[in-house]
Amino acid sequence: MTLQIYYDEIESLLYQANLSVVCGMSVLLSALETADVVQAMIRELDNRDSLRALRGRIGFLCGRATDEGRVDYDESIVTYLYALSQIDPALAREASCQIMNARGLFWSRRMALRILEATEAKALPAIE
Amino acid sequence: MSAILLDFDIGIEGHPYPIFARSGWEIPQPSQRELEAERQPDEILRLRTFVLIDEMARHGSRQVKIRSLPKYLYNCVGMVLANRRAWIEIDHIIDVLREDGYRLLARDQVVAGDVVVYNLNVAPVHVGLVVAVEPSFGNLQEIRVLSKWGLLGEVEHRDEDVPYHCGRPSL
Repeated sequence: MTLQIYYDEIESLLYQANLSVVCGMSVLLSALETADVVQAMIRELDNRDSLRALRGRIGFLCGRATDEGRVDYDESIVTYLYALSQIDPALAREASCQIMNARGLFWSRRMALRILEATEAKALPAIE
Repeated sequence: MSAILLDFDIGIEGHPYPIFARSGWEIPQPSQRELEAERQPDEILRLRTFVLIDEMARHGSRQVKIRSLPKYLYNCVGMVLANRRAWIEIDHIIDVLREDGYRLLARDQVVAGDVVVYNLNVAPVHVGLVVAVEPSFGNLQEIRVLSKWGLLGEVEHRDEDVPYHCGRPSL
């Protein structure tokens, strides 16, 4: 099944506007956890092709920079990153690296940073 | 008459300048690295806000006005409690209000200058500043609030007229 129906809603102006009013990371996460469209999309990520398609969608949006070099799909990208992180942490880390190099993103960068810092923390040897 | 504009920027070693509550408790803030972001252009902020206001109007909300589209990064908590100089996660709002000596009020005690906390599923998700209390139908009062809607602008509205993710007023 194609993820396009989810892309259409999550990349809509109304979806982005609704999410842009959150004033904290906990509120954002709660919004994503309870959003029907997000949970429905996550249920579709049950195979490698879907996961790679979603990873590719993040790359596609990150590449759609404006003339000023800014990416305008912050709320959509963070939604996709959140969904990826629930199923495939490795792909989420890969996407996070790309997001950290894109301009114009706020929530996506914050979530990407958390994903990457969590990875670094796990990689540190235990202190005995 | 000229004015000095205080620019909020990086503090010490990549951390925002520390902010303390009246009790001396240091208010937690995200690191500067977390807050590095370009501000969206005015036209995008305005468009998104209008989209929300239009959607809210379909559900009966009226008299919602964009007050400003700030140049600097701060959120609702930063607007109310840090003079628009900081992004303070909403998770800390109850602690900050307690450490600053705020007390709970009933709705009929509210006056301009008071603070309204908004909850969603019992968790605080938003905060605003009361700017006016006006008589309404019967013995009711209309409470006008100024609040910062996340990354969007500062908006003046009735206390109940906020987007879904800003919750409901706890008054």
